[in-house]
This record gives sequence, C-alpha cells and structure tokens, in this order.
Amino acid sequence: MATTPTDMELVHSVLQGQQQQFAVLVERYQGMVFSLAFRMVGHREDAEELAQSAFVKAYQHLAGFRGDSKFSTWLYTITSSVCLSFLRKRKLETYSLDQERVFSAADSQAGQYSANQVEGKSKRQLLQQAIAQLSPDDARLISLFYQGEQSLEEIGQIMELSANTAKVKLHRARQRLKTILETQFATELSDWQAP
Amino acid sequence: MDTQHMDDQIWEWLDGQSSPAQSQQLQQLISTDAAWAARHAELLALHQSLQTDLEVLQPSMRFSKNVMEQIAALGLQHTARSYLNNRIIYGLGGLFVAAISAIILYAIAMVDWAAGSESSLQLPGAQAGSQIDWGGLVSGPVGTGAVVVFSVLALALADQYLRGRLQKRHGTS
Repeated sequence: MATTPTDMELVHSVLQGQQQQFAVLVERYQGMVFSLAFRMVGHREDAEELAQSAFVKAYQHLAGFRGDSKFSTWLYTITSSVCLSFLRKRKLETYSLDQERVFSAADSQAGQYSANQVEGKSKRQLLQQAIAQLSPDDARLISLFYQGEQSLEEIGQIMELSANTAKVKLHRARQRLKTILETQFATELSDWQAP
Repeated sequence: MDTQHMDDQIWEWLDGQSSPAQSQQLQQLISTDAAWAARHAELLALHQSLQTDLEVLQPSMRFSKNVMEQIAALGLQHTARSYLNNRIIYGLGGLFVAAISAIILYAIAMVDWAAGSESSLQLPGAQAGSQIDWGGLVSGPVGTGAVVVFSVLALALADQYLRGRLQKRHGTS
C-alpha cells in the first residue's frame, strides 16, 4: 500500500530535481491558498493570480525552507505577503482595525440586503458574505485559524505578531463577524443558536 | 462584568486556551448565570459554524497546470539568462566604447598642431554628385560587425525590458 508523501518529502524531491513533485504540493494546498487570497482581496480573478504568484515564489525560494515551521505556515506567510503587496499597490481601501468604523460600515450595508436576497441562502453563503465584509486582516485571521489549521503561534508567525496579540486580534475579528451577522442576518442567526 | 471581558474568557475557553482552573470557573458561571449561559451559547454557535460551514474555495480547474507552466517558464528564463549573461553584454558595450574612443584618438592624432590658427583638420566637403556607397559600407566587414553588435545589444535590452514587465505582472520579481 502506497503511503502519501509528507510535505517535507515532497520538498526534498523537488530540491533534488523532481520538479513535477511540486504539482502535488500545489494540488494539496491550492484550495487553502486560493481561499486565503480571496478572503484578503475579495476578487476571484485577482485571488487566482495571487495564489499562482504565491506558489511560484514558494518554488523559487524552496531551497530557503529549512523545515523549522510547517510547510503550510511557510506557504501561507508567502501568500499573505503577496496579497498585502497587491493591496498596497492597488491602494484598495483597507478597513482600519478600529471597531467603530467596521461596525458603522456594517450598519450602513445592513439595509442593502432585502429579505428576499437573504431568504433561502445557506449558512455557508451567509458566512461567506459576512466574512467578505471584514477587513483583509480579520478575514485572514479567521481563515488561517479555522481553515488553515494554524495555531495562534503559527498565525503570529505568518502575521509577524506575538501569539498573544494574534489571540486578541482573533477574538476581535470574530466579534466583528458576529456583529455583521447580527446586524444583517438576524433571522438566520437565530436558527444557529444551540437549542 | 463587561461583555468584552466575558467574550474574551469564553473565546479563550472555546479555543482551548484556558487553564484547568479557569475552565472550571467558567463552566460554573455558565451553569449558574443566565447571562453567561446565553453569551456562551451565542459564541459557541458561531465557533461551531466557523468550524463546519466555512468553505475552502477552489480555484479554476487549470490552476495547478498554470502554476507548473509558470515554473517551467522560469526555468527557460534562467537558461536564457545563462546564455546572455551580463559579462557578454558588458563586453560588447565595452567593445563599442573602445571603438568610438579609438576613432576619436585617431582623429586627434591626425591633427597637425603646428599649423597655427588655420585648422589642419579637413573635413571631407560635400560635393555635388558624390555618392556614398552605403551598400558597400553595410555589407563590408565593419558594417556587418556593427549590425551584429547592435542587434545583440537591442535583443538583450528588449529581453531585459520584457522580462521585467513579465515579472512585474506575475509579482515574481
């Protein structure tokens, strides 16, 4: 029975000249890298291009990966950096971490969703919509923690923060997400409550 | 107790970051205090929803192929770079500068400094009917050499410019 090669084994194979082994790593992480990029930039085409750039950069710097951290942590650090450079270049409006501003933005957008629009939407879609309204930083934190299976220490490493700061920021990000959900999807949210 | 503090404590517990003592204290609060219980239920619902309902999005079907094609193109770029390395480009540039300098030095050496105020450097006068054999100049060894040198330099510059643009586009500088 063939065993699935680990990330580190694949990295070694690529470094020894088996370039095609990198495709296995791409297949393994493309969903998460793309999701992370999409949640940060909010645009599918841009996210796809940035995710590709992140993989190409990872390939170019693969020799510099020492295995001190998980391959995924290293890859998400590159993805974050690529997306942040893009956001800086594009001078997209980035929301400050100031709670009041995010809350007021959520309030102003609340009226844009009619009952019909919300009706029939799955929990996944609602969550997706609510996350799309978070700042890139908040969306990145939630994505890394819940989807990327990164610990607070690893998130701190990716975002160049201490683990404690990452923890506090994650609390705030979830709080803001909750506020958006409560403001815009109050009816649906009541169904989520544990009985 | 303010809501923020309450939330922080509950989140810490849900994330498995609380100490055993804190966990015990929190469990007691949740079972005895209605406000704590309600807040816990809300946050737990969101936490569970994030764990189960947050989708991993998928890129297009060609994503992996696109990445591998870009990586293959990188390999070709490196190969081209090894053919046209900077030493060759600088060498050709140096040859060009040396040729110009030699011509200038030769012209200066031909000046008859003893001729006084009258210029001894006679530029060829444009004569009506005189015809310059441009074809002969270009097809001669000097002309051919110059064409080759300039072509290589132009290609090298174009390559550098286009590669820069490509890298900028893909963010792989």
